[in-house]
Amino acid sequence: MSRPAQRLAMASEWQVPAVSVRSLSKRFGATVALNDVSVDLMVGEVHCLLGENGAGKSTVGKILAGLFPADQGEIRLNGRPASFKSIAEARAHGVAMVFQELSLAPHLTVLENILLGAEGRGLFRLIASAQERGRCTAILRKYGVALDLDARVADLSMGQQQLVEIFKALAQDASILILDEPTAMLGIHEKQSLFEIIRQARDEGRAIVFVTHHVDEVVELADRVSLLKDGKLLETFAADGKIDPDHIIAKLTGGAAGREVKREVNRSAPNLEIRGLPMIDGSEGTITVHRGEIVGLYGIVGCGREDIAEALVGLRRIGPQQVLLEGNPFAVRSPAEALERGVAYLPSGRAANLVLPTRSIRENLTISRLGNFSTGGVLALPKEVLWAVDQLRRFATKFHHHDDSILSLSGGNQQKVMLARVLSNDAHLVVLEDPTAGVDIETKHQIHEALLERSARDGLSILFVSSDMLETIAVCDSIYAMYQGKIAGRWVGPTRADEGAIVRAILGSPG
Amino acid sequence: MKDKYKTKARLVGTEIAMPVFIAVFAGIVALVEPRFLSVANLRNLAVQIAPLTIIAVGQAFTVIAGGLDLSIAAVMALSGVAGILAVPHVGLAGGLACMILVGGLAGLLNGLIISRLRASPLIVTLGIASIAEAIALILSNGVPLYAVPGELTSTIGFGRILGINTSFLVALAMLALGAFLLRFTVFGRYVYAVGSNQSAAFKSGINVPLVTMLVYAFAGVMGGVAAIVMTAWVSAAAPVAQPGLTLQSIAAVVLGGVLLTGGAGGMRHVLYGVLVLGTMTNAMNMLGISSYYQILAIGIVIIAAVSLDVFRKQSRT
Repeated sequence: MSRPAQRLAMASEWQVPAVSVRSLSKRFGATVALNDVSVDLMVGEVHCLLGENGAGKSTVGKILAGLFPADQGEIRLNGRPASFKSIAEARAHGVAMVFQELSLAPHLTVLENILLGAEGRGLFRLIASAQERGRCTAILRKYGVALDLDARVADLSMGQQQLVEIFKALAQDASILILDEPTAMLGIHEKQSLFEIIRQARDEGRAIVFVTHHVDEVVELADRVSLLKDGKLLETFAADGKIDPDHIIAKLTGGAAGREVKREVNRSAPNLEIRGLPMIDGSEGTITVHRGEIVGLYGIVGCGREDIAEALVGLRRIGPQQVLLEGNPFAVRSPAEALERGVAYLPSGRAANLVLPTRSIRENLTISRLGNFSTGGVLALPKEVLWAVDQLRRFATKFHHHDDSILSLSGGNQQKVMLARVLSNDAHLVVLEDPTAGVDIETKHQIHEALLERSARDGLSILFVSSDMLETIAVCDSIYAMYQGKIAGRWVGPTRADEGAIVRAILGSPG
Repeated sequence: MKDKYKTKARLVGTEIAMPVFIAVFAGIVALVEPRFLSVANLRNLAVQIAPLTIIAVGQAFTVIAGGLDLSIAAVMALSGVAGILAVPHVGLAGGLACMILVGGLAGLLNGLIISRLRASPLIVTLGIASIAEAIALILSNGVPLYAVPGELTSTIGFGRILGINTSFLVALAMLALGAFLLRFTVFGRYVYAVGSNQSAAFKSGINVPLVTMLVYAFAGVMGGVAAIVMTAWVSAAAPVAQPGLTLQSIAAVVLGGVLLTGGAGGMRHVLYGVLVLGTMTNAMNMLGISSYYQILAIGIVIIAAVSLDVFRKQSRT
């Protein structure tokens, strides 16, 4: 029970912090990202920065890692003033950050990626020496991780890629490791092994900064916690195993959390049927989404849930299954065709698959329904503007002007715009992939409310593909669990009591 | 609160920088060579930049959509040759329509290959450029065609409407058409979206192949329109376009402020770019600078434009 980190945390009065941040402030245009934030990072602790999107938690990490400078304030590294002008400079001083959007070279192997940018390697040395290979193998073995050093990064799962990124930092002897929302793309299995690695890295005397908005992760992992809200530090406290999640949520949102009332759904009118799917017992099964129903498709990354979603909207070939939409055969070759048939799609991966980075908030919002604001292909701008601003208000998006760049919004607000884009179509079925990935608790709540409202009010059917179990249970009217491309179980009206059974199902160990 | 509903034109940084730069530059040229501001020279300048402006309008569409059209000058030359050869059979109006049609078809071919095969626009348009040039050489036996009807030369080439040269008016009309398409049509929005993030555009329900095809077809049509102005101006249809014209069109687009990576920029940027390049060439001609040094200067400006593009991108993040 006496974890070394806790002892260190208690002894912090005389110990020099690995990193000491004083009065850090940062503005982006009109947005105050950080306002007078001071925090100490100790050797051998996992320090969680917890807050909603736009709270400034990632900004702290990014300034530390040399991505951009602070406007005001001081950073001391082992007692000495430090301010890094680039990521490379920060790495040279032992500060490494694993970004939310991974920065790996997809065509290189795991080994080459780990060695990329390592010290003492010239520009023209891509081939790893036997010694370097040995060192990498040793590190992986020490952490008990099975990664094929010669596998191409592009062929790895998101979780494995995350590991490569972390080992890249570890191989370069980073003493301060900053992880920005590292669990956003991970299934529970991968999450647990990531936590193990983080704990081990901490026990070896590293300072770990863990940026997250998941309270449960903080409860599980943190030695100390700093709560941030609207760019300000609310408080820093030692975890000591007595964190009260409800207290934290109340502090961050200013309201009560949790809602556990299941509603009644009329299951007489199926909207979507996917027939001929393999079941875990060898028979064939059907996934049915009724009108006004939210159906969860849940499983770990790579279990086949994305395949089903992508096949529905024409991004990949439909397998042997037969899809019926409103009773008619449904097979499309592109999301555009799917949209014509009333099926809207929100892919995962906001930066890669959703955001139009050079365009305005409004254009990002209306791009899927321009037909409603045009006659003969010519746009009626006033109509579009009115609608867009109304939608942004409805989704409680924090924005300055609808003509501002979409990138001027925080990640959570960007996600709201994307969701508004999809939900505002006149679609009768929406396919959502990880709709709340990378958003804060409050936004998550708002998104859930919006989904529940739209399905109840307009009879919208929702296929909800997620790797977040608590969320899936909270929002879905029924859940299909998937394991290795097969349906491993179905729960109607799921509650927290079903949690154990669902986890067993998606890990392939029923009963 | 209310201003949230307005769409406001925002003048920031590079937006005012370019017009100011052009004004200062023209001012300096005028000081060194007072004849620069004479009506005759300004007319001359307007006629000189007309073909480049029209081509740059087409080029801007491909760049905004995240691509590039290296065939645009060759397509212009082919359109000119084909149109002039057609005149004896279909008349002047038919010949001009033929120019636009040939340009559009060549562009459509570009777009078809790029969108269907998902091939690199760089290589595809380079290949089409070679093919277009070859066909033009074959059709014309390698010599410029001088059988340009006098009507064409006197109306579009040297005619004026309200004191303004017709060819320049055609160029302005094409700029206006481009601006209208980009700002006020669904197609324009899609062009921006495809250039901004192709995957996001596709997944949000845009028919990306169709948009791509139309973009290159539009560039080809602009090549055809440029051919009309060009043949009218020089009273000949040359099978091989003026060297460096394609490059100048890209330079004008980027210099004016269209992001080379796509998804941003508009017709005013094209106008800025063309004015800078045009004023430069015009000034150098008047100062009697050898054409060798002119090519050098244009090269330097192109490199400067690309550096500016990178700089702009960095300052955005």
